[in-house]
Amino acid sequence: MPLCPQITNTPITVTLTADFTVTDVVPVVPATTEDVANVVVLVDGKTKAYYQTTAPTSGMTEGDIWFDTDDGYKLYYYTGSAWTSVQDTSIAAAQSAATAAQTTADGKNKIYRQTTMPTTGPFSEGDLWFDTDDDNRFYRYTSGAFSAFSLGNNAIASLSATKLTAGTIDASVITVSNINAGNISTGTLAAARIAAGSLDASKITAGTITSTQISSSYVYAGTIAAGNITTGTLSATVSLAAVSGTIGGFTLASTYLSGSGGFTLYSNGIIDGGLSNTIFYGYANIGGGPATGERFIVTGNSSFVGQAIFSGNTTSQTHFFSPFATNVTSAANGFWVTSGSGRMTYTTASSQRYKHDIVDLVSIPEYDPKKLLNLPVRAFRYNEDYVTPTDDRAEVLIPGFIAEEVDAIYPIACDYSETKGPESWNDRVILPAMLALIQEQEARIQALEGK
Amino acid sequence: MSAFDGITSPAIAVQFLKSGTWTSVTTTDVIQIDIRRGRTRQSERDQAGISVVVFNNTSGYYDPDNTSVSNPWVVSGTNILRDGLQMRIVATIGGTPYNLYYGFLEETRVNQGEAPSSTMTFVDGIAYIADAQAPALATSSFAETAATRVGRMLTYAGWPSGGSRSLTGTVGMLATTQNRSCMALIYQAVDAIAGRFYISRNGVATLVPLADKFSRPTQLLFTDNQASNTVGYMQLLTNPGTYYVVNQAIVNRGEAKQYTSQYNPSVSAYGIAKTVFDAPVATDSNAQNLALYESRKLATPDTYVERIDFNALAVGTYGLLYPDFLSTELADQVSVVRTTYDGRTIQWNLVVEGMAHNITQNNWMVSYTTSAINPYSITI
Repeated sequence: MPLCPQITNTPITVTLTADFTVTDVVPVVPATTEDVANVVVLVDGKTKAYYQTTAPTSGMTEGDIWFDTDDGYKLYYYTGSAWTSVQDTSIAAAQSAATAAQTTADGKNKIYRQTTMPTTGPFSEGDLWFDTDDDNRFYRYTSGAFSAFSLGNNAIASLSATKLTAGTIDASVITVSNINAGNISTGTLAAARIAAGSLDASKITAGTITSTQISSSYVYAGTIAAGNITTGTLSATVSLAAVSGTIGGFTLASTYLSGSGGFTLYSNGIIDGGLSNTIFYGYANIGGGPATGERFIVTGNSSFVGQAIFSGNTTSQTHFFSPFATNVTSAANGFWVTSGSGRMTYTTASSQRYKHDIVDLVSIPEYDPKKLLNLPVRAFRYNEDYVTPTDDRAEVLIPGFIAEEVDAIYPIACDYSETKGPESWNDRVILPAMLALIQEQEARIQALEGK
Repeated sequence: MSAFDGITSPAIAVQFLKSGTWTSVTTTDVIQIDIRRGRTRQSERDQAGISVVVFNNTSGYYDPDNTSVSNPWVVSGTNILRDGLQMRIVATIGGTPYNLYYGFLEETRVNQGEAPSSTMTFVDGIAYIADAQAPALATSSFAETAATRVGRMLTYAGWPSGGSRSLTGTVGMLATTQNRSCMALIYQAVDAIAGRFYISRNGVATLVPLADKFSRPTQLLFTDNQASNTVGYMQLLTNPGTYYVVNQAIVNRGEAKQYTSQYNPSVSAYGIAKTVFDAPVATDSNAQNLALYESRKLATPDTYVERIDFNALAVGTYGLLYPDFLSTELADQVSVVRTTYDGRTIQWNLVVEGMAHNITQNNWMVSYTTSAINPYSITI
């Protein structure tokens, strides 16, 4: 809206009042000069019209007209001295055109449709006759007679039809891009090859599919009923549900897989028993790899039942628990086992069979037992997360050593964690050193006493 | 247009339609622009709008015979500065463009003297339509509304459809055998609706009915008191109106009937002042109402402002009035308030009948020809 004040223009309706004088007339339309010049007035006795076959010869005046009744009522106008044709020139033109058209039409070939050969001519070269009682067989008038003929290949270069009804199509080859048939009924469909991008069938019923190869990314089937499936590899990405039969040398049962000879199960991962027990029966050998990192790990609520044999330093116990298999196979590190009463027993080996380079301890300077004289003997309490509150040693001062101090003074007696450094002190090292120290002091005492 | 920066005053551009794109002429090449649109009085027909533009032709670019490849108005070896070239004149203020004129090149005169210049004359669509003839019909046909008839005439004339037309007029008209110029038949339709036909500043063929005059905006208020949102004027030319009195109207309704209406009070005062309308309306009642209206509309003379001259560069002095000024269209309203030397305040409410612009590099003068707002109406 513009910024300036807006003017309001209020309408005042004009109506017919006494102040107005209103008149209406029908206007007179004068004739034009041209119209006046062309007016022809017929007056009795002045202009006459004649209807006869011959031109009037007497009594005429200028302007008379004569219809020549035997010449298509051709119209003449009397000029005062002669009769002049005033026939519409377009009529003559139309007559001429009609005659020309008739001539042209007469020269065109004719087509007859009848049961008998036409005999009433005239015939023109190329006239056609369809013999209607002989399935419209073609005849062409040539050299004075109608002769039968057939359409050549070029005459049907392309046949476009919505429907082709035939009892038999006798052809050596029918090349089509698509056969759309509700039914192909044949005794035998003999084909050297059915080359199809896709054979889409709800069911292929065949006594035998004889094929050297079924090349397919997938074979989808509710059931493959076969006496034998011979394959290099049977690869399945879904469960292979079988409760009987054999695969290789193994027999399938509903709950186990068994073999007549040795049975070896290789795994680089986990054998997961789920929520049920996984039980190895019989003489099952379970071996980890040779390296430390390839340990055999048993987790969860697992148990070994019966006579379990652990290779290496063979040990046989009634019940056995172990968090790490390497601790089982290494006699030097020992392992935990349960006795028949359920108490924990610690055991190791000290036989000469397992040792060499045997010398006196005091002959090795770094193992000098006197170093132990500098080892502080401490008392301490275990942290809350190390012992349970109900443990007898909880919050009680316990005599002992500190592993870090052992490591500093007599490192051979210190045991180490792989990641945390000093972890514990080894009494199997401390005690021999302490005994050597006692022996050395006993010798000194006896020497001082003069013995 | 060195004085026009597009911010404090509108920037002016002359544009030619080159290969379907509006392309501006170099501003400094434009020496002068004259534009005239509309009519000088309400009793006249709207004339073909005309614009004369003078170009500095030292470059030779405004010579239609110059087909040099360096000439920006040469397309594919052809100089486009030929008859019928579409042009428009655009004024832009604050980034908003407003068309002042839309026309077609009619004539070019090249001055090849020492001060080379080129003067091009452009006309608007009325001149374009006036060249067309409505073909004769064997029998009277097309009993239709006024708007439909005008549209048909525009089609005969080859005028584009769609947005290039704005036609309103519901009065029915008698069937016709035509055989007249398209413009003559358009004027019959204009008389039938007591309306107006013009080409808008945007190049739209526009037919407005009688009722349109009651809905037009008031675009500007001219004063001599420097009040806010007013425009100062340089000259007011008033007219007592007696010369243009019409108190007897004859409406020819084709060959059907002729109605004559006379407003007797005016005849008594000023004698008979007659005018004839060729309005083949479909009904007698409409013909009679038209006669009543035309005999009453100008029967009583009123003093009015015949012409207002003002400087367009001063339009924005007392308000942000450039958008209102540049939007002003024929048939819009303006008002003038004048304080006389003897202390009287006179206001005239006016209709813009015509407008003229004279634009140079440093000046822009505008004249509006106006008439008094007319309140009379009829039912048709």
